[in-house]
Amino acid sequence: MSTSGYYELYRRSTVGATLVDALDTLISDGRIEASLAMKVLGTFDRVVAETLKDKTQSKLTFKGHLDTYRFCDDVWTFIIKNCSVKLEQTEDAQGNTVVVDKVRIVACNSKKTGEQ
Amino acid sequence: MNDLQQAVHLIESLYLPQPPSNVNEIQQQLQAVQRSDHGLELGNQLLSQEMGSPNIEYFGALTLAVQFHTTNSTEILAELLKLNMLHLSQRARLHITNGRQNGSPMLVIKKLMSNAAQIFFRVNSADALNGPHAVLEWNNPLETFCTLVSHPALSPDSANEVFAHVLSEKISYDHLISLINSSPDFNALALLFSEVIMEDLKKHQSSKVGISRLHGVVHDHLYISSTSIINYNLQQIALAFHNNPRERAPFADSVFQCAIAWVNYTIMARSKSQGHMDLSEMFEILIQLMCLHDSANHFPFSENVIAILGEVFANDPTMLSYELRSNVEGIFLGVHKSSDNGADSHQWMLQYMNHLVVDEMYEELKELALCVVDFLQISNLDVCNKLFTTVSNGNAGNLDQYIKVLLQMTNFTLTPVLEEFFSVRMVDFWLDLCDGYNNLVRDTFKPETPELAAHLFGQVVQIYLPKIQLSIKQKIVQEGEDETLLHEFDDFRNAVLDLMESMWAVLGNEKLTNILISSIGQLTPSSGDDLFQIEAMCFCLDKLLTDMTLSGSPVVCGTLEANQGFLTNVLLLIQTGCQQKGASNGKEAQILSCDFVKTGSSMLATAADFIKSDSHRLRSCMDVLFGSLETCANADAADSKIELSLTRCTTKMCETSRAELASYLPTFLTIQKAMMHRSSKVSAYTKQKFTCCVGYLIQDCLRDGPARQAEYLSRVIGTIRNEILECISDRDHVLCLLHCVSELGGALAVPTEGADDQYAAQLVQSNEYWVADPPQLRATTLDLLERVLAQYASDSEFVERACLIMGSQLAATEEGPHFLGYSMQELLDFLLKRNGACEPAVALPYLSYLLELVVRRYASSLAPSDLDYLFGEFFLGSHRAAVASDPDLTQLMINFVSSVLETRPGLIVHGERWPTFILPEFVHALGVKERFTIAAVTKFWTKVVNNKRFSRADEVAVRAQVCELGPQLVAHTLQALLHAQRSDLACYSDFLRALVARYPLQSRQWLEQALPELAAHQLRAHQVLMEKLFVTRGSRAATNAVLEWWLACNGLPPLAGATAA
Repeated sequence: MSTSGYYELYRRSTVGATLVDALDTLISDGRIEASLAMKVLGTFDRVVAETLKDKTQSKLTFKGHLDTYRFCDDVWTFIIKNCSVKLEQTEDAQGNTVVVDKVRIVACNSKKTGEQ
Repeated sequence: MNDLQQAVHLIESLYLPQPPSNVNEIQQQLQAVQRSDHGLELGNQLLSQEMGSPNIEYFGALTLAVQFHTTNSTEILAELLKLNMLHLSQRARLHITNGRQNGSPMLVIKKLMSNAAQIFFRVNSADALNGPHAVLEWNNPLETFCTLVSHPALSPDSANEVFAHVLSEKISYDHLISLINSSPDFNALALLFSEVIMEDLKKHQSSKVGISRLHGVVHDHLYISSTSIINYNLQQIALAFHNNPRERAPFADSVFQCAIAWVNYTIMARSKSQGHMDLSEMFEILIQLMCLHDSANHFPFSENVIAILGEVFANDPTMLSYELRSNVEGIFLGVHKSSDNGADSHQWMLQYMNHLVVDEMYEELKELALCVVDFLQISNLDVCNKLFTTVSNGNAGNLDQYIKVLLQMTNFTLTPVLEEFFSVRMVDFWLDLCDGYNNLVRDTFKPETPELAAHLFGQVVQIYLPKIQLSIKQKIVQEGEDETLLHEFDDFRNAVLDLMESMWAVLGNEKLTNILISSIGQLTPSSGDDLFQIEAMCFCLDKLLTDMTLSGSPVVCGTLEANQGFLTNVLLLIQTGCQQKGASNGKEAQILSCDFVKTGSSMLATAADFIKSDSHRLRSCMDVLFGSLETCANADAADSKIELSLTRCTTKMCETSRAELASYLPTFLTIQKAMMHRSSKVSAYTKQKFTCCVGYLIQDCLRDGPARQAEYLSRVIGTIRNEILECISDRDHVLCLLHCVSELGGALAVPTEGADDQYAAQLVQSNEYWVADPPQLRATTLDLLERVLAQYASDSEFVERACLIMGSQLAATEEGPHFLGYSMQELLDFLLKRNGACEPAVALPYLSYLLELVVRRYASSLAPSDLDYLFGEFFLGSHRAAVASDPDLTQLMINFVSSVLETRPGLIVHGERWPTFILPEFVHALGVKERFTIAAVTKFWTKVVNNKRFSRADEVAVRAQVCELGPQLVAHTLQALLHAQRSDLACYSDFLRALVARYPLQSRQWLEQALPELAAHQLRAHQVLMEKLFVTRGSRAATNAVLEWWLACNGLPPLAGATAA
């Protein structure tokens, strides 16, 4: 049960972007008010954050060349090049490593600042 | 609908167990009235009904909520506030007087409370300050509620007069306490109202920006009265316990729920509000309540308080003052890391834990573990500094004792995951401490620090090794627990691996890797327990060795060498797993077998570099692997998993020990031949990977000259060919065999490392040999593919596999001799032949993949006219209609052109099709609706306007073309952009950014010309877009500028002020 405000970064995920597209269409068609769309997105932010926190067990590890890193406004950004991503919990899969040219990791603080 | 009775009838019909068929129509009818000007009156009438049913009452409360959300009028809001509070207080009075039997159901009361909360938020929002509701002032709903409920003269006639005064009336502390003391139900309702307001405020804040004014009002008014009530109640709970320890105060649950609502709100509001809401008094009483217990070890409030503290420690531990945290530290650990204060209350902790353990209350024990470890994490850095550095001096004796307690807690006696969670959660603590230690500046170390750290983390290793043994998993399975616990245990084991990796940085090979190796080697397994120990150590060691190059670690290799029993024990894991995997041994044995084989085979694969250095050693390993594989027959899931692990290990061994396993090649060939047969029971994956193993060994035969390679390859290809021709109608089998050819092709690629002089000398000779190809392997393989495709030309998997086989050499990272090294002409002939007979949707994607490889490899041998021809053959010609109508194929064509632009742009831009087909058609393609096509076409245009691979001649030609096309290009882009979905905007904005950067003068004119034609009424938005596009540099800023313009032109709400990330 997190009580802080929720990040909006998951709106840029595929499911989030698709939801935003659908809400745009509903507003344009006059089927819902913009305020309801905002409320839906607020709920989306909360539910995604809570679900990822409480209901996921999968883990992945990655290895590659750390090309860029920065810490700004409490947000870490890492750009990893030539990265191999190993997915766990998929032991039945025959090849569970994915190799990609570039991975961008955006990591936000799940807790409040000044905690420690 | 003016008739109240009609409304009542409709509402009741809505809630019937079997609603009428026109329920949607009824809903719409009622919703229309709720939203209409009569809604307020209807809500009031429904709530004023004497003997009204709960459904009617609830619908009345709901109607008031609808009116609140639809109105913007101050008068209506004021009327709503009055009506809602009067109905709420009337129901509360009834509830207090008559009890629950005759009053309104709690659902209606809670809905009215929630309505009141919403009105309170709006009245005190920042907008309201300057808005139409500024005339309303309402600071404390709780006091208003208490005043109205306790008012002696509240009747329908006097309501207006009374209400005019109560909104601003303040209640003294004594009066408030006397009111809640007047009746337990009054007390419970006051607590409930406070809780509802806090819960709603928590939900409300996530959608609002700038509600600091509301937080300020809550801080100045509601916080004072609510905490007074909560603290008083908490004290009363303690008092009631002291009077009668056996009976729990009936209102305790309400108080705890209200307290947790306030704690959660305070955590959220602390970062957003100016005022400081101190809950120290509440926490102080809560901690006292936590420690209460009677002589019979009955702990009535501990669980509630631990839930609250757990929430605080997980989210905002600084809510507890330093003194309170110190107090908690004493209670939880019995020792303070930095002071000598007594910690008598630790006795409670010991008794409570004992009570939970004895009564097998494992869920509660888990909650306690979560709370305690979250608490410990707060001061992790402090512990790290005090323990290891001279920067902060702690009391050494206390610190030792403190660490001892933490180690004891980690070494909790019960079974991890199943019964206790302390050891599981403490992994995070030790990991943070270890990372903290690794990040410390060495200059700040105390003289004894390295030794101390090694000693401490050495103990942690000793504690965790038995805790991750598979015997625990066995227990979990035996208990019949669901799969969740098994996953939790696996997660725990993986977390310990991360910890081991971090501790390796402290302990090094000497105190960790080598000790694990010798411990594994010295064990002489005589029981299951010994095997469990070996498995746990192998599990950790494998992780440590994975990141190590064994050939460059002589000390580790020396230790492996010195411990002869090491390899025997690792092999024993595999053998035991294979012996026990039969279904007749039960599910438990099957699960453990999979883990044994997985750990053992993974360890072997990791140690392959060491194993290959001794032929005897290598032979024992291969014998066990072969023997174990022989037992697999894909009988069930466990059997398949084991086969998979063994195959992976064998493949790795062959890849690493190509030269050393040369003598095994005949055996491998015999086994592989048997596997190729349709009747073989091994999985398709094993067949493919075993062919890959054979390929690795054949690849190394290059040392003895290409003729040796050719001899073996002819045998393998011959076997596969015969098998395919024999069973050509068995689709899956034939496809599997084609996979095998593809694996063979991949394995024959020249490795990037390990080439010695003898090997290098053979490369030239081998290259010539394979160009001539005396055994005709290329022709044989091509003929085989043609025969297969004659039957399966319309099956995309076969076309894909055939293209992969043909491109085996082109896809390899290193160029070198290859038996499938087809010439450009051979490849193009194959492609053109397949292209002529193919169904575009099925085959063109794979043909295009191979064509791209060919163009990339032979770009320098091709001329623009060749590319024109190929482009025409594959994407125009007979496929033109299919490519134009299928977005996937359109995207494929655009991506092909983009790939040429990335390889050798001159090939395409100087061709005839560039000005006549590609440029005009791709301008039109900007308006497509499919996301992947949009991404492809915008990427193409970005490459056209900005391409570093352009030669001078390319640049001049393309610049002239873009300048000519510019107005049309920009108009199409903006037209497409305007009608695109929000999620596609980034593609267009990247192109616009590139265009503006490369053609600044021209693009300004093109934009000025195109924008007003699109949306003449949005001149301001157009101007802003132009200004921003021409000054912005970053991709994100450009996308935001385009998004703002798009929102304005489409009449959508503008971007919210603040974005969290």
